[in-house]
Amino acid sequence: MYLELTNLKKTFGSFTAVANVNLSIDKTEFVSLLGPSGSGKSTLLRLIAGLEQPTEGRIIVDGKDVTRLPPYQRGIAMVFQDFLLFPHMTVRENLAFPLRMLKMPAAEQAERIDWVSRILSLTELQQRYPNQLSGGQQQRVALGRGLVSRPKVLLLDEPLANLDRELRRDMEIEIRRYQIELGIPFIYVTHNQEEALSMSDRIAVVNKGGIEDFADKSTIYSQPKTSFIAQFVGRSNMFAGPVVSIPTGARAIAWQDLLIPLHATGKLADHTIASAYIKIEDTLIERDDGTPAPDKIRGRLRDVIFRGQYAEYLVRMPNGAEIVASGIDSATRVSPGDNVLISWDPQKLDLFPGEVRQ
Amino acid sequence: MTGALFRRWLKLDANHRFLLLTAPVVMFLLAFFVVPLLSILIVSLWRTESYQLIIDWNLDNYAAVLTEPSYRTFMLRSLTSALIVSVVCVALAWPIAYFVIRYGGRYKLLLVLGLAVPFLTGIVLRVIALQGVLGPIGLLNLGLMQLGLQPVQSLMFTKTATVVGLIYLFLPFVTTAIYLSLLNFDFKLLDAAKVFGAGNIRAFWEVTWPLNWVGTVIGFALTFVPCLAESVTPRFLGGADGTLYGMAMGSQFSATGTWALGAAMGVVLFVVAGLTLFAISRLVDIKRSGFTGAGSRD
Ligand SMILES: Nc1ncnc2c1ncn2[C@@H]1O[C@H](COP(=O)(O)OP(=O)(O)O)[C@@H](O)[C@H]1O
Ligand SMILES: [Mg+2]
Repeated sequence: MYLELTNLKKTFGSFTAVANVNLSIDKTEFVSLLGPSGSGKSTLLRLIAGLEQPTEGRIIVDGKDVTRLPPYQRGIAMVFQDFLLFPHMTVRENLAFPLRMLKMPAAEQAERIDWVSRILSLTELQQRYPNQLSGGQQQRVALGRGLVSRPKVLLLDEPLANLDRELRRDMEIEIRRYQIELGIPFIYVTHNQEEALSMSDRIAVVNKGGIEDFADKSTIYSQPKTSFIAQFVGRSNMFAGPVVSIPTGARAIAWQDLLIPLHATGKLADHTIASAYIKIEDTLIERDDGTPAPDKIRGRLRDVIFRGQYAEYLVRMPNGAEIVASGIDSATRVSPGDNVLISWDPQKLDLFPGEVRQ
Repeated sequence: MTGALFRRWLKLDANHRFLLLTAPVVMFLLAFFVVPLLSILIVSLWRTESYQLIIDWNLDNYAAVLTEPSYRTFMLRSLTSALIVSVVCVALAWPIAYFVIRYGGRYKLLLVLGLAVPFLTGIVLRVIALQGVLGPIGLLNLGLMQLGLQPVQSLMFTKTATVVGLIYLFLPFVTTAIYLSLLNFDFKLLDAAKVFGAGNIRAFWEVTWPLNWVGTVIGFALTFVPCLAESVTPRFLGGADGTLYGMAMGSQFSATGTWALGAAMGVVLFVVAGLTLFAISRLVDIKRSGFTGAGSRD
């Protein structure tokens, strides 16, 4: 593989920020590191960049062990969350910086700067200083500075976090395009699952310094490997409680005062604690017309939130708990105050043993 | 009462408001800057005779200041020692300020305030304390002899002693200026410099130095200009051939009673200092200082 992290570990004093990370990334891959804030994503990037030295482990880029190399000998570039443009240099000088450090001939520098200015529409801005740019423009300069030297790997640390929504969506598409054009791996750190899901080939879910799972984005989304992923990726309803046998011979989770039937209980024994997740888009809602429906949960529709293409239905159970269902609004003729029935395909329920980790 | 005042304030147009707001500052500058300066300028064009000021408009004092070799020597000596002192101060202050910022942790402020401790004693006492260090049987020589080395014969009452004394006096100012500059410096920019190919030293010269250049220049000016006029330190430490311009100027007002000449020396000093400040300000390109708001956004 093009980029290999082996048993990478980083501690700050007694605190472990990155714990035994193993990742192999292909040359043409767009990989996202997705995790909550404080999970160690930035530290992992800084280890790859060489800004931090790992406590243990190895980093191999393009067949070469760079673990002990200083950042400036790694040929890796980075786009920082707060851009970190050099405020005393014009846009052009910022773009020239990596090339100057490489001692590239002036003609070639100009060529590279023109190239990157063209693809990022920076040509008009070249003589400006960073404090004369809008957030989106600064972000493009930061990206340009990352691409201009055609690095072996580009690391991006939440590069879109400071931009507004609309700009973010455009940039997502752009960034993905540059990655394909350059044919180098992008490692993209984000705590925003939509960003990760829209851009990546593969996603590594980071939690408490470790990798929960590293897989195809569709696998991460639809077959969560751990309860953390089930909670963090997508939006799910969670049912946690002791496993009990029910009269039909199957098992269920006793959640609040409801029984959530389980499809395959695997090794789960009675009375152990387990948690089950169902994605809100797999949670079905229909009007309760009074006919008996033993497999469905009864509730009252509290509110409907429109999200454009679809709507979210907030349903309150008699016990006070809330379940969210989502669907295409026109297909579901219910309105707030209605009695409704909630159901799902039990096969789509993701089941994890053990206590719920928050 | 205040309500009435406020209503009257609202009736004023922008120009009048501006005048009212700036009036205190203008008065202050007039009272403590312009008036004394003007009076010195006037006196410098008069004449003194046996401790009497005589109103007799002439330029003789300036002719004396500018042509008499001893004054020229004093001025050159002052310029040289001010330059040496400021450069050494900047060179010492940088590592001190840098170290305090990077490793001072939560004691940063305390460490910098610590630099001001010698100020609690007043200038004369501090200079005398230096005599105790640099003198023939001072701490320095005692230390050297303890180590079995030759004592330094003549450190006290030399130009070197003056320079050492001045460095000791001005180091806190320069350090504070650079400290405040570094306090506002985003050290994460160094990460960017390193990722994009700079080593530690290169990153310093490419990023840290230019972005703290204004602070450094201010520290330099804060030393250089007062050093030119400094008279106490050379008097106590400088010895017979260590007379500096400021000291010679001071004695016109005390020992010799030639106030008019002293005033002319003061005006010349003012002009030299002003030119120096102007030259220094040309070294700063505010757009490249990293200060935000230097350019307008459009
Ligand atoms: N230099 C450091 N010294 C001590 N702790 C650090 C340092 N850098 C990061 N950490 C800690 O490591 C954890 C992970 O931080 P970080 O990698 O920035 O997380 P993320 O980018 O996922 O939000 C945090 O708890 C943070 O406080
Ligand atoms: Mg981070």
